[in-house]
Amino acid sequence: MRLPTLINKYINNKRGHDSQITDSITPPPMKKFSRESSPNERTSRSRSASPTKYRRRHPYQVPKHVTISKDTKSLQLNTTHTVAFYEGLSTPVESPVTTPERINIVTTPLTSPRPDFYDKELNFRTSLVKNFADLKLQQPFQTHPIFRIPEILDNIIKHLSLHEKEAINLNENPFKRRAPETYQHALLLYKDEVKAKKVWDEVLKTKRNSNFVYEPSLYNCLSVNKIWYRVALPYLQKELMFRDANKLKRFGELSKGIYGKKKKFTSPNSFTLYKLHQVAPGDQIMEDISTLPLQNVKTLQFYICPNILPPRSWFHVAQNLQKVILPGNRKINDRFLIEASLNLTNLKYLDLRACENVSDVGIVSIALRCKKLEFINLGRHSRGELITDVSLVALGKYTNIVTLGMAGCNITDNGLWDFAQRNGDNVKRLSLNNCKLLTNFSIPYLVGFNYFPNLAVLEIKNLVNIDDVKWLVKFMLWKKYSNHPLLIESCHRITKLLGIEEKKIKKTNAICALSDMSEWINEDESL
Amino acid sequence: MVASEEHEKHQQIPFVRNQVDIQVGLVGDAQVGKTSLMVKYVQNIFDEEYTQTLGVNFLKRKVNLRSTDIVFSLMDLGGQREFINMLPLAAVGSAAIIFLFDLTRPETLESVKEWYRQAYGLNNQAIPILVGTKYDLFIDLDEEYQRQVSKTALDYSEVMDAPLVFCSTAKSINIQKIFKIALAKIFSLTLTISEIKDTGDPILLYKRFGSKLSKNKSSPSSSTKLKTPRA
Repeated sequence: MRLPTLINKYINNKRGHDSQITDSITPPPMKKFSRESSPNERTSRSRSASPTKYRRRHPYQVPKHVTISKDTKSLQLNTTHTVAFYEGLSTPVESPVTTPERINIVTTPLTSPRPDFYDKELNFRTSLVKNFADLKLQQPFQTHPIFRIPEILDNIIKHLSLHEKEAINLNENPFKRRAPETYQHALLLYKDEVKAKKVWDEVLKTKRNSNFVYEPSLYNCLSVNKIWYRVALPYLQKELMFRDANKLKRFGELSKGIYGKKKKFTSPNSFTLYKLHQVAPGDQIMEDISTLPLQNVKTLQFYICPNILPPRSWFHVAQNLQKVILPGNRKINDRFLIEASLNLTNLKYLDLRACENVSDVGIVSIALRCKKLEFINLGRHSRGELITDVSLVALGKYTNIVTLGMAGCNITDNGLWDFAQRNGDNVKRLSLNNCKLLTNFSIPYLVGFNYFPNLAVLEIKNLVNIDDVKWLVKFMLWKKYSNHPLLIESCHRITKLLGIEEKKIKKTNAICALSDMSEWINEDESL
Repeated sequence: MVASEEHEKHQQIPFVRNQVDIQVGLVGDAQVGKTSLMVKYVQNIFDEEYTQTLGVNFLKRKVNLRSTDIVFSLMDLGGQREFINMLPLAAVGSAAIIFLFDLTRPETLESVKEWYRQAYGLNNQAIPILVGTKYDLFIDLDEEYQRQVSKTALDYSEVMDAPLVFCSTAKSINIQKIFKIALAKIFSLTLTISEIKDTGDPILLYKRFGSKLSKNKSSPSSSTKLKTPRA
């Protein structure tokens, strides 16, 4: 969190300073129009160069032409011609102080002859300006030079964009162990009071701050200055992300103009909606953006947006779509999946957690057409009866699934055996939490007979019908011995059973070893 | 059908073998035969040529039993005085420390006192074993000398509470037995090899020694500490 807050702080400072400048009306400096301020004085002027001088200028005082100095004196001093060009207020708003790309504009005075009285007045004013030149009402805000080097800035912004992405996938971190259910459970898992306490405290803490406030910082980077804008924009448009329904609507209204004419905007790599749960079921929020150019999109993520469906037209365009993540979507049904599966030939990753209207029909159509599918998660808390062995068998038969999430589905031993026989070799992660129909005759024996040789993570929380864990422990020990350790995530009851069984097996092994050793030492060898 | 074919392919997962890692340190004066004992035990080779050990030599021997693999890691420390500061390598973490002396040179038995003092200071949990080497040369010597040395060695082993073994690397006498005794003492196993007590024979005394230490330890420790027998 440090990076975004730091940048935000910086941004706030910056913007505060900016607004102050706009409010104050600085009188145009007269210096430039005096005859005396010929090229001799240019050095002093460039030293005190302040953008306000150039920015707040009255239109008629700005020469809107290019003048080549004809003054002989200036020609002697300068071998090169000094070119002054001003376009007055028609130019876009000048950038603030920090912009390093600002062209250092050097002005030459008007050289046309003027009446004397005019000169006198000018002299007077020039001296005034000179006297007060060093006085400044406020210090110009200077950024750290690091923020002016595009390469470094690009690196910073890249990490910021990664950080934003991560924040959304925070609870999806695959390398993190599942949180224990109780303190007792933590104690069983970590076998060390200090560590268990620490882990459990962390769990309680995250429970309390579950709805963390997210600061959209990448967007704010656009309004810092030109260089920041230029660096941040590609990252922002590569990963389109919305957390606010109104902003999505506004984007929809503007999108046609943006993507049609200006070539600046290219097809994004990913499109994400994050927790737009307030959107009403009848809201046609996606209509305006149904024609986005999504040919490069690889990831489509609608995270807990219960009432928003991706427009059908998208799937015709997005041929490169590999990841579809739609957890917690109430609108997705079999009809939608059948239609989508027709175009999603490259799909690898499909997350349909808690999409409770999806049933076997939809999953079978996905399995039949998406041959490259590697990840599928159908975990749910209610309506588990809609996903049965039919889905499991279809996935086993037509795809090479590596990660399978079947939590809370009504799969049985038969389905799991069939799946294991067809596709067990590929499976690395398997989640069977809350599959109440599974018994001792499936998963323990399946691992015991090595049907899942590449299994690395197995989740078996709350399998009420499982109480024989002997083979699970044997498999776990064997995997550990062959340097491919297996992680079993389980509930308190099963963890306890596993612990008891492991102790038992180790004890028998120890007795075996001791008897073997005493036999060996008493062997008669004539060496 | 498919299912039955698949069944043949899938075997029950194999039995996980136990592995017992035992580190043994070898210390003693220069040229008593530490390296040659180690090489003899691990590779069954004896070389007459003398090679000075610089620092510490390390060899592993794996013994495959029915359900268990025993891995002996032998740490052999150079006998010269300048290597004394490397003694922790051989002593710390060792389950047994073998103190060697040359049966033909009584002064090497004398220095066992110092070696033992130093090693015990670093690791008082290890099983000490007193080993006299070059027994094949020893038997050719004067009978009275043999009696004298055997008696002194026995006194030493009594003070150290260490099993006493006379061995010959060249003639392969009592080599395997040293390590079997070590294993038996580490895990408090019953050893039934007959002892050899008479002067002039390759002495093998172990029953009286080295069990005080294991008695001091809590009794179930041997089974639970199986994976890591080092204290």
